[in-house]
Amino acid sequence: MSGVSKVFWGIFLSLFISFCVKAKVSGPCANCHTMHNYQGGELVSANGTRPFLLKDSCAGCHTNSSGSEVIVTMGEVTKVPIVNTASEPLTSLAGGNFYWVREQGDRKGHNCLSIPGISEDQTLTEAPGKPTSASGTSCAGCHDRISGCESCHSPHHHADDSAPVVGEEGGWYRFLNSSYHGTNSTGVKGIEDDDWEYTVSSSDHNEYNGCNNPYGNEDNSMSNYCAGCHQQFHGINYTDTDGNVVYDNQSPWFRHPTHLALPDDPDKEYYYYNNPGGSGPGSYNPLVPVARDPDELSTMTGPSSVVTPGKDQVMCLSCHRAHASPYDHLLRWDYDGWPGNGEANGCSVCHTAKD
Amino acid sequence: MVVVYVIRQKIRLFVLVVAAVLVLASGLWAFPPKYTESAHGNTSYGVNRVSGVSVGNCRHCHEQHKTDSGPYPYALFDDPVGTDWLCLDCHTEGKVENRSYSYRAGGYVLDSVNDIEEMFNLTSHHKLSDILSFIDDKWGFSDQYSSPCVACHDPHYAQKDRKTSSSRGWMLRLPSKHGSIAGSDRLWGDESGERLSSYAGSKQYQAPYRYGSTSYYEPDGSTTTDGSNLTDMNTFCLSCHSSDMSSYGLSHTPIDWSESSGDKHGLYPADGSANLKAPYSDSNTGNYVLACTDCHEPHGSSNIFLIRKEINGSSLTVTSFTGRNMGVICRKCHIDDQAAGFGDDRANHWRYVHHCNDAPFWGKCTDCHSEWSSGRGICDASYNGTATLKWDCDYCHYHGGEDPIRNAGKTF
Repeated sequence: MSGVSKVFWGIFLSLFISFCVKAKVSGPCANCHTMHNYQGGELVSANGTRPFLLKDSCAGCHTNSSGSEVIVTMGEVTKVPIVNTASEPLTSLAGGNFYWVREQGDRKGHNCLSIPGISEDQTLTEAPGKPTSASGTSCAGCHDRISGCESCHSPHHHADDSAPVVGEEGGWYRFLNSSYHGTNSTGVKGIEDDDWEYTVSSSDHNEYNGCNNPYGNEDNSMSNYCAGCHQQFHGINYTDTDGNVVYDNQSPWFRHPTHLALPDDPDKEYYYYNNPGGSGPGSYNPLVPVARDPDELSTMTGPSSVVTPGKDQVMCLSCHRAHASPYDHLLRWDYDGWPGNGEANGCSVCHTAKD
Repeated sequence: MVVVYVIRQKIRLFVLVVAAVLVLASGLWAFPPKYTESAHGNTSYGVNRVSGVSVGNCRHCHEQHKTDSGPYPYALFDDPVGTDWLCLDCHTEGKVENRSYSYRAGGYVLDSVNDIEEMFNLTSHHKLSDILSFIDDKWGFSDQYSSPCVACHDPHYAQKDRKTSSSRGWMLRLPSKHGSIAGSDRLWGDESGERLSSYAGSKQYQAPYRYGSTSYYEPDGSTTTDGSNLTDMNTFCLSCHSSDMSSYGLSHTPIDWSESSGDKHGLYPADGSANLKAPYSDSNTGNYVLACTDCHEPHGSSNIFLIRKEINGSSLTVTSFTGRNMGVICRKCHIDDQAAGFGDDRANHWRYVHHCNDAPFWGKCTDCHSEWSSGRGICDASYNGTATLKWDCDYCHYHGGEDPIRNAGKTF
């Protein structure tokens, strides 16, 4: 093969792969849209027409109603990530799978009420840690009950998400910006893994935007996006009995820290992330992912296996999956079962001296 | 060729063994204590506060997102300081059974005290608020956030210690190692160099008898007597008690247990002779060093000054140091007139020790007595009269004590 041919095929394959895996949809419009909700003598959507001439709802397209596969093909090339399967998936995508909250109960996931089979949480009547400002009746659709996917996702399937770091221009990382009151500072930035972490390794994974300001709620970070509903899960300003104000960016922690960097201190156990007993930090562990320093993320062109204390941050998704998981509290591992289950404890990826 | 091969194999094995010994001797600790080996992390008897969660799970103590009350330092479920004392939420009556040192190490199973909170409410006890005050701003502790219990115990590594030869664990951590993640710093006593035998050095530690026995010894009821099975309690306790603690009511601090200037019960060589009870030997007088826990409970006691309810094989009660009351402690290891068969064999009378073989005070009777019957020799066993003492025992005998009458040297 000549040098010119190598370049040609290289460019072609790059474009083809990109064409297949980016969130921006491609293919015939009819894959998703119907002009008259009528085709071949039958209604396309039996429940009536839908906004934007869509043939189905979010859940309709992102549900596998007959099996456990978590990626399906629409048309010929468009890959659809599945977040709700009929049967238990052997592996879940990065966000998890609503199967578990639908079939195994409220403690496994977010009760997204637009997904068939999921009902209101029987214990919680509002988002735990809900911001005090989210108390109006107009807030209830997201902050009390999760009425639908658009509470968290603002679909932009036609946005150009070809840049390595997906932000506003690309419709935000995984479309993470509320459809109801999203702004250009609430949307999340990140690098989207080609197959939503169906295959995953230390060098094959999503990348999440960290935070420059632990007190900010609108900084395009992953954790502060979650804090939109769970604000009081983290961060306090505590006044001790000596009258000193203790801020939420230092020990002692009053709640588990988030959106803060692993200490760049060899005398702390966190320095040895994913490498207990080692001489330095280990490689990125996708079971317990870290968010990247915003200044670092903006320069990245793809996922990295390197974890850098002092920059890379613990975040909500270090411990939780967004949709649902097989474990209570949407956790990424069987925390409640440890140590009795004899399995590895994800906590010890950071808490390396507490194994 | 076969012979050469065999020799090579033996040399290889020898080298491997020597290398292994060198590694261990160098102090490298290849297998540091783990949380799952701790009393709290054990899957059968570990922490267990929240139902539906594995025994030993972090959540029994830490609530990462607590919003119902608190939150509290270190994301704990309750306040580690103040009046709550988080540890006592579980280490209280009816929840976690803990026994006294006399019970576990001394084998004094008649001691009914069975929880830590109860111990901290006995006649004498380590005052948690004083501990907290003392450690504030030392070793990384803070009186705002630190549990005083953590001054002595690291909750992530402290092990259960049933103190039987087949069930040992190590429950202490030097306060100066607080916060260190080094494997060798996680516990104190778990390595051979952290035992009383090591502390004794060229001196001798002699383990006391277990309760009711003259064959088995503290702390684990085995026949080991040299302290190689006992945490170096002296180094541990002196982490704090080598300081002046008079502001906490401990007027006889700092405790000096050193060989150069300390107490005779410590490393400082005892002078003269002594008349000791078994398992201690008169012939070894001057060479012994005692452990703090030979006489004191760590948490609390119904006796004063945290004096154990059982010492060297038998029980005792001491509620004051007036008169000769202190002698009930001394007579556990030193012979009184009864043990000496001296005079009318009175228990907790000390004529023999003070006037005969080990007599330090050959001098004026008026130094110690306000009245007495005259005409008797100082070591006259036939004398059964009364000589009124001017002083209580603790006039002379206390930590750091020096002879206040004749300036004749150390008295403790």
